[in-house]
Amino acid sequence: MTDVPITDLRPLLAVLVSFVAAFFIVASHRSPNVREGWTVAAAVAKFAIVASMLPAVLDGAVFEWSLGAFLPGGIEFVLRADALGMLFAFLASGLWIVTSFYSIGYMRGNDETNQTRYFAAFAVSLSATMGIAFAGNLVTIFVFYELLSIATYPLVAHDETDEARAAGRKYLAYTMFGGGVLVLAGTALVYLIAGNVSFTAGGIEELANADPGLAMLAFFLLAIGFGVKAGIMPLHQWLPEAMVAPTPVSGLLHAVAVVKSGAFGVSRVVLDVFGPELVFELSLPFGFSAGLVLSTIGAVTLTAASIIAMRKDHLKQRLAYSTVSQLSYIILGLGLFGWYGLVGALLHIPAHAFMKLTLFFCAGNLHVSTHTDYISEMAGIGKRMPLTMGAFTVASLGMAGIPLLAGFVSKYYMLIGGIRMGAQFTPVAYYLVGALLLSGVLNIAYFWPVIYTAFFESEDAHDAKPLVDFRMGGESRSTLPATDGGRPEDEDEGGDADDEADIDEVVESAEGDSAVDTDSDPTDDGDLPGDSDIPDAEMDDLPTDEEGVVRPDFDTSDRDFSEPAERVDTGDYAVDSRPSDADVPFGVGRGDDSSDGDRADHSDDATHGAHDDDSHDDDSHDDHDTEHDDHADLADHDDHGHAGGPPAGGWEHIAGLDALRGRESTWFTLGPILTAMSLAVLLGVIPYEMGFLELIELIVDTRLPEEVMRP
Amino acid sequence: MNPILTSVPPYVLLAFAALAVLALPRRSGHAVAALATAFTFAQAVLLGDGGTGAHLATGFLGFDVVFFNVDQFSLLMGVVVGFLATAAVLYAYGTEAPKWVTSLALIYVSSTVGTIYAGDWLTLIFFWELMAVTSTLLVWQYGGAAVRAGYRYALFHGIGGTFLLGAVVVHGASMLGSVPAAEIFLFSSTTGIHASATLLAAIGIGVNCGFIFLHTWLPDTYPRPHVAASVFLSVFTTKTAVYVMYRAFPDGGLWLAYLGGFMAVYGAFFALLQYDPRRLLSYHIQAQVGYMLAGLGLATAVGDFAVTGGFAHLFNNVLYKSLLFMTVGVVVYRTGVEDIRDMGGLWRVMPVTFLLYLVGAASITAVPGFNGFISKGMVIDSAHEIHNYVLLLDSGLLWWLLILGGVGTFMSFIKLGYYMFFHGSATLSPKDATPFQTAGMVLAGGACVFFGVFYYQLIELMPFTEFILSEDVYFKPYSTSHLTESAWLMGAGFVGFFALKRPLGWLAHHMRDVDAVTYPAAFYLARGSVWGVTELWAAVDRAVMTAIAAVEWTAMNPREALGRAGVDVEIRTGIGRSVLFLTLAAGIALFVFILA
Repeated sequence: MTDVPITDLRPLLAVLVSFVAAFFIVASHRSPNVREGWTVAAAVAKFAIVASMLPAVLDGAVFEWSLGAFLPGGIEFVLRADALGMLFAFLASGLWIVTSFYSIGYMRGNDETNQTRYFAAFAVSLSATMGIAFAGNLVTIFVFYELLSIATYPLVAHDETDEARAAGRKYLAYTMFGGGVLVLAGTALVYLIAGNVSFTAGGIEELANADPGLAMLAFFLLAIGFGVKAGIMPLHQWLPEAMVAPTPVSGLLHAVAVVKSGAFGVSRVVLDVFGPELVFELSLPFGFSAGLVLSTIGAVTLTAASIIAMRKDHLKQRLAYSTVSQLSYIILGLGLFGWYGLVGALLHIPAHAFMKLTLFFCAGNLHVSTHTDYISEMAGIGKRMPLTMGAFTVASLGMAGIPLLAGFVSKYYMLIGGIRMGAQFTPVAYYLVGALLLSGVLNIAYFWPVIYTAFFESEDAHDAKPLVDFRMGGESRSTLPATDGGRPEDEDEGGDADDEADIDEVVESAEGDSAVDTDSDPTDDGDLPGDSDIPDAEMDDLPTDEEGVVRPDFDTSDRDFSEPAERVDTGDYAVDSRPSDADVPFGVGRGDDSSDGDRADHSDDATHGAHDDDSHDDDSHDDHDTEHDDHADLADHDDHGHAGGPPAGGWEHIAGLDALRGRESTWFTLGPILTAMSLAVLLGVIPYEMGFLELIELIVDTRLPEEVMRP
Repeated sequence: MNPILTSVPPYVLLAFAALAVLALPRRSGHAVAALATAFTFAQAVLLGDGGTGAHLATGFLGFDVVFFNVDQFSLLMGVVVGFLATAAVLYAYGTEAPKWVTSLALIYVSSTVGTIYAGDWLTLIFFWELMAVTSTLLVWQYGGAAVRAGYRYALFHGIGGTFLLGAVVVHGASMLGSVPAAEIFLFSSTTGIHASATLLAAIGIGVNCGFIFLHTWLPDTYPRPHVAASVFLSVFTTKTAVYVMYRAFPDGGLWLAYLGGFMAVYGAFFALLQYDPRRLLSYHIQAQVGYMLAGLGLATAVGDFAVTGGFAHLFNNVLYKSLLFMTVGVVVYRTGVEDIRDMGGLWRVMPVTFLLYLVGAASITAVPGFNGFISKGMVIDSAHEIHNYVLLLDSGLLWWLLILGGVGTFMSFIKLGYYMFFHGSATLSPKDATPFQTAGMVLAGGACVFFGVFYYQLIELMPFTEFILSEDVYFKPYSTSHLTESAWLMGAGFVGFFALKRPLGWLAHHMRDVDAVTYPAAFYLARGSVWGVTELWAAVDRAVMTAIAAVEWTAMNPREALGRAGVDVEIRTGIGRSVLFLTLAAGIALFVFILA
């Protein structure tokens, strides 16, 4: 084991190779295939450089390259490839290759604009990521941290819609001005009290002798500063809003680079700035310590984010909250003082990356191939996209901690670490273990419905989603248009089937002359509400005559003819309740994807920007008040452009050899999906042979004091 | 000992067979499946002759594990699981089960066999979780109402698996220090599960066993999927759970024995109230597991005889419970009817099915000549030695509970047989079982009769064989006292059924199981927390956004802000004044900071 860092150019090369490639990408903007070639070449080169350093680092070597002191006090701008940095760099550079191929398939499949800007920004952000991974002290990591935020802004705001720009602004506000400022403050404070900001395995010694109050303050400044990017609550809100970005960006953000850099930053702070022992000993009242507070924040985030995820109908939103939750596993594990806990936490970095990347890629593939974004429209989609949903199933199993997958291994280690800490040090750790165990069940609760609706439910009779928003036992829904004017649907199984009628039935019955009317005798349903009982807010504002039929007021005496006529929405026009693909003005179903740009309706879309947010702000939604509060009808999803869901005859069935040949989509997207899924399985079965567990054991072995070393 | 037998773990073969079923045409796929399950059976039988040992010991995830642990307990499980799975595959083929049913069933059997042959807690929990996932998929496959039921099943088993995972982790962490770190999970490092993990393990395994209040998934899920899938589901999860219970608590405990006794009565009672035949049988699963746990629980109080009785009952139960599910499945398959009140008079038109039903019913009710008689007798004899709470006839509470359960069992199977096969003339005229269905049922039924008559063969397959067959133990199942006891039970059963038919009918319409309370409670609690958290977060978000907007507005319109506050002044700030103000503020802050 060498103590002296070896001066080597490779850390710098790893950072620069994609930065330089960005220029070539921009230069070849006229030939897309050459441009994509530069991306792939840069990714492969970067991975090769990083991988070449791996064997030596596993033996204990450290590679360093320094620009020299650039701040007073001797603070250098230094890139150092040690075991912890190699973990992140190896993961990010490897996954960039996978993401690049997926980007190609996604961007071309979705016919996206500004692809050159996209690929160039991607390359620069990976460059910044390598910088974060190899940063040798707090200042260097801060510089690259901010560079990463800047480089990813064009990716988040890629669509250039108001919604995207708002999300991008929020992203910058949180990560650059929130997180970055806190990190800078913390760095300055550390320098002030310790005189040294270099990452030292086991912690900077001077900090242990410094004033504990200041050290505590510095710890929280740094931890929360990095934690903003890691999505700790309540500073996580940028994450779900960034879902407006194209899916490979979401994958990059949420699995490969950005949130992982946040978690990596926290791990540097815990392991290399303060050291696990000091983090455990910095004490607060009520028996808490800095590390325990960090873990508790992680535990609370974990649980709350899983709970919120259960209510999300938009698949990417659900995955976003799942990311917030799973990242908190890492934060929780970093606060556990012991060998097993730290190993589990660090192992969760690659484990979650592989699984979450698979999930996002699947969501993106669904969007590209079928334009379906909402879980309530996904009934039976497993027929149309078997490989994609199969990979989704495998990755979800991993998220819930099912064995054979990476999620089980990291969770297992963290549980042992938590129990051990509880037995040796403080019983608070038992509650943390409880949170981890509860999270496994919550993962089942919000991932399993997606799996079963995709494969085992049919388009014309499936449970309404999200499950918590509807009756116990389920309510039957259909995503196929009823072509016969509607009839009462059979009552769903449900444990306690009341005699309430479905809203679907009522809306259908209002469409035309159907058998279901307020005065005709319904067969087995109790009382079907009449038209006037439809809980439609707009209805109540419209004038109705004695029979309850809506008679809009067409008095034109004081009408301004420069404006189009007011749209009268009685709620029972077929075009409203059965949106079509046609671009009907004022209609619910819009024409094409939002990438089409300038339409007046986009202002409407923008106000629905945070539609799937928890805030049901009534101010911003004038006409479409309580729609998304109500039952998930197709009519509610009017802001996702092209209507998702199955075509009129149900999903096309792709089975057998056709499925294995990848007929459902292109291999540009399917290949990366299956690769990421296989990596998740491999990490769950042979974590040592993949190199990760060995690397992590090396990291933890060099940073723990005797009494909590590997037993 | 042939090295192939000790180096090929059967669950790997079963997993490949599951894929083969999908890839091959139906007939050859099922043939491959049957061969794989038959291999499992044959391997277990052959390994019984000197093949015991911790095979395939290796390292996994940093811990020492044993992937193929062969001892007398895992072998008896391997024998009966392999045998029954073969019969079930034949039955599935004969019931026109789609390929996916058989494939998922095989992967489920594979994870079951993996659990059985695990030699350490890590491998065990590994395969235990896979069992939960594969059985969920098997339930879901049927679609329709089975999907939501499967989701509830998944949640239930997810919670149970979480408890068991907690128990395993606590066990491992507690073993650190007393054994080398890599060996903390091996079975050979200690007997049973560590004391600090007792409660967690009991609950975790108890969910799969069907402990009272943890059992509601049984009648909810098992009647839903394809009839062939029900056959697979009915035997593997619950019986493997009993086996794992023994691994966790090899010394048993009276708590376990009494719990088993109460389960026997509870299950039989609720079974009597059911009209769906598969639901009735599902409640009986709970009752029968009660007998097994009663036997295992008496390991210390009575000794190895009780343990052998428990395991013998497990072995026999796998055979006759699946047989019962098969016969009921044939009736459901042929008539399309799932309510026994709509059936009747079928004994003439479906004689083979009726005969095999009689074999199954006789076995479960412990009629002499069938295998249930032997094992139930052993358990009840063991219970007879417990005199903690003596009631009538100089017999303790435990004995009376098991006897009461026995009477209840008789009553339910008389009810089931009466409604399905007698009870008026046949309004339906279905065909009898298909050839492969019959083959599967004959295999299971034949074994029931065989082990009832040649019970020494049953004991040969059990643990502690020499002890049971030695002179220290009184083991005469066909003694007069046993036969009289059996006659009394049968009599009481017939009398009870016909006498209590009316009150039981009334109860059936009015009495609900605990899930009438627990399911709504769980659902509304979940919904309450989800809505609470999301609405709370939305309110916080709104408040923060409003505050930020207010701050922004105040900063941009200071004059109006002050005006609204009632102060009307001119605010003029130039660059100089602002800089002065900021410098002062920063100076004060630094001053305070450095002084502090």
